[in-house]
Amino acid sequence: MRPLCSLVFCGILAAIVAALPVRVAAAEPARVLLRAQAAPDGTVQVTATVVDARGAPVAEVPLIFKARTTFGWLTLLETSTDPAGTARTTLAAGTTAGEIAVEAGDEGTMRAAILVGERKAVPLRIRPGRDVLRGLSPQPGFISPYLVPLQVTLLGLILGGIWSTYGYVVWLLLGIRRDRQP
Amino acid sequence: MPRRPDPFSPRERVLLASLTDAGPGFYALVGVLLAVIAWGIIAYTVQLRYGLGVTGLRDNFMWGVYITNFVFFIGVSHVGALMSAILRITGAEWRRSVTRMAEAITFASLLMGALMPFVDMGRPDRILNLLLHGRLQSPLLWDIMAIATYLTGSTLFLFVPMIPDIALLRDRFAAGPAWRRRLYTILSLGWRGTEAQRHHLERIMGIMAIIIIPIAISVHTVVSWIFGMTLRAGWNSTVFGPYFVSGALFSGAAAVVTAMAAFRWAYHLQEYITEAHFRRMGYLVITLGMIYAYFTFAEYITPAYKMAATERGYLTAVFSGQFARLFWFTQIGGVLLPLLLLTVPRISWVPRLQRVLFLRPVPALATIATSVVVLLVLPAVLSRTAPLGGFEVIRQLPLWIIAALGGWFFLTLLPVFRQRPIAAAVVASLLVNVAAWLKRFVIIVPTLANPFLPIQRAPIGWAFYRPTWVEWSITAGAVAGFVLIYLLFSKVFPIVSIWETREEGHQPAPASSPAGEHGAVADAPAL
Repeated sequence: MRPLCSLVFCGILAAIVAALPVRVAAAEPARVLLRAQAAPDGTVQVTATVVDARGAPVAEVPLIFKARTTFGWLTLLETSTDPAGTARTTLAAGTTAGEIAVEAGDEGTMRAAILVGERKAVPLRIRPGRDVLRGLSPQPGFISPYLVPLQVTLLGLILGGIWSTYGYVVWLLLGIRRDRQP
Repeated sequence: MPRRPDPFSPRERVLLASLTDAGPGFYALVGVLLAVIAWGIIAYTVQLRYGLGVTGLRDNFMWGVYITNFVFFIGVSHVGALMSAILRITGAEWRRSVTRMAEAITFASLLMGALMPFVDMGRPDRILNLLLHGRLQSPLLWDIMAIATYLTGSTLFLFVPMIPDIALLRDRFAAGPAWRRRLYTILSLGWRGTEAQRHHLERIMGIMAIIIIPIAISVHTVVSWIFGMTLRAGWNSTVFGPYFVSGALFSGAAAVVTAMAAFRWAYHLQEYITEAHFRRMGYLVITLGMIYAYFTFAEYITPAYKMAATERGYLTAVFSGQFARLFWFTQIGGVLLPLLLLTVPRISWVPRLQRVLFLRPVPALATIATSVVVLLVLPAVLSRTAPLGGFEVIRQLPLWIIAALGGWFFLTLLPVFRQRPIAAAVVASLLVNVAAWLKRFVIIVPTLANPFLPIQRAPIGWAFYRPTWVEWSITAGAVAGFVLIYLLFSKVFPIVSIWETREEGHQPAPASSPAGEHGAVADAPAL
C-alpha cells in the first residue's frame, strides 16, 4: 500500500509541477539558411530561414537581403523573420545572375550567400579564347581581364612610333653637338 | 681702372631683363609662393599621416578637387605646344614673341598636373603597382602613358628652339656664376650656328612641330576617356574627347594672355609684346571660345532633350539644383562675358556711349557702388531691416534686376576697355581661367553625386562633397608651384625668344661682348 501511495503522491506532485507556468528562454538565432527557387515566369524567390543551435526556426529576427553589383552590395529588402523563421524576397525576371546574400541578427552577425541564375561551366584553358571572354564581358575587345592582342598591337604601334621619333630627334640633337666645328 | 664692357646689347638687355633684374618685388613674390607651397606640403603631410579621411573624398566621391586640378592643369598645358606648333607650321610671324611663353606654360602646368593623381592616392607608396599590375585595357593606364609621352615631347619642343638662345647666354654669361656657365654650356650642345647645326635644328623643329599636334590632342582626349569610358550620367558621352580638347585650348590660350600681360608689365617688354599680339591672341581666344561653346551646347542639349530617367537627377542638379550657380557662372562669366569683352569694345559706336550721362564711368560706378552698399551692407548692419528679412531682400530680387545692373555695369566699362584693350584681354582671360577650373569641378562632382545606384548605408555627410582645408591648401600649393616653376624658368631662360624675334624685324644692336658678334645665332633658321 505504501508504495502505491508514494506513487500517487509523486504523480500528483508531477502534475502540480507540470501545471506551474514555466518561462522558457527564447531560442538564440544561430544560423541562417538561404534557398533560391526559380518560378516559371522567370522570377526567383529567395527564402532565408533563421534557426537556433538545435535547428528550430526563430521568429522576429531582423534580416537584410543584399545583391552584389559591380559597385558593391545593394540592399534589396530589410525585414524580419515570420513565426516559421523565414523571410522571402523575389528577384524580378531577367535579373542578371549574381550573388545574393542575407545578413541576420541585430548586428548582422550571421551571413549566408547564394548564387542565383545560371552560370555556364567554363572549361579550363591556359588562355581563354574569345568565346570565353564574350561570356565574361559584353565588350571583350576592351573590357577584358586579359590582354587583347589587337589592343596591344595598336598601342605598341602608336607609342612605338612616337618614341622612335623622339629617339630620332635625340639623335639629331646629338648631331648638333657633333657638328659644332664649322 | 678700365670699366668692364657691358656684354649685352640694348636689345638683349631688354629681353634678358628677367634673367638679370630681380627687385624686391620678385623676392617678395617668390617668398609668398614658397610660403603657400610650404602650407600645401604641410596639408599633404596631414593627409599622408591620417589618410584621405581628412579630405572631403568618400566612397562615392572618389574624385574631387585633386582631379579637378589634374584636368585643369593638363588642359592649360595644351595650348603651349599646340598653339606654338600650329603657328610655326602656318608661318605666322607674330608668334615669335609669345611661343616660348606658351611652351613654358605647357611644361610648368604638365608638371603640376601629373603630380595631382599622386596626391589623390590614399597610398602613394603603391604607385609602382599602377605600372607593375596596371591593366593595359584601362584608360587610367593609357593616361599615364599619354602624359609621360606628352611631357617628354613638350620638353623637347620647348628645349629645341631655345638652343640658339642658350648658346647666346653661354657667351654672355661667360663671366657669370659657375652654375649658369655649366648649365648653358651643357644645354647649348656646342651651338655655333654652323650650316650643319642649322640644318639639324630646322629638321628637328619641323618634326616636333608636326608630331606634337596629334600627341597634344590625344592627351586630353585620353584624359576625357577616364570619364567617358564609364557608364555614368554626365560622363557617358561620345563628344567628351573634342569637348575636353576645345576647353583645354580655350583655357590655355587665356593663360598665355595672362602670362603675356604679366611679363610685359614686369619686364617692360612693350616693344616685343605689343597690342597687336594681344589683339591676335584675342582673336584666337574668341575662336576657341566659340568652338568650346558649341561643344558645351552639344554636350548638354543631347541628354537634356531626352531627359532619360537615369540622367534626370544629374541634369537637374547642374541646371537648376545644387550646382546651378557654378554651372551658369562658368557659362556666362567664363564664356559669354569674355567673348563680349573681347569683341564688343571694338565696335565703332562704343566711344559714343560716353556721351550718355548715366553710362559715364564715374556716375555709373558711383550709382552701382551705392546700390551694392544699400543692398548688401545695410540689411546686415541695420537691425531695422530685420523685419524685411535681412539678406532675404536680396535673394528675393528678380533675376532681371541683377541682370540689368550687370548689363549697365558692362556698358559703363565698354569705353574704358576700348581705350585699354590689354586690360580687356587680361580680365577676359582671368575670367576664362577661373571658370575653366570651376567647369572641371562641375564635370566631375555632380556626376559622382548622382550615381545610378542609390548611396546606401553611408553616413549622411558622405552623400555630399565638400572640399576640406587640406584639399584647398594643396590646391593653392599646386597653383603656387605652377607660378613658381614658370617664374624660375624665366629667371634661367629668356621668356621671349631672342633669335626668333631678331628675325621678325627687330634690328639687333651691335654687341660689345668679349665673345664678339653672335651673328650665327641671328642667322638661325625660322620655321
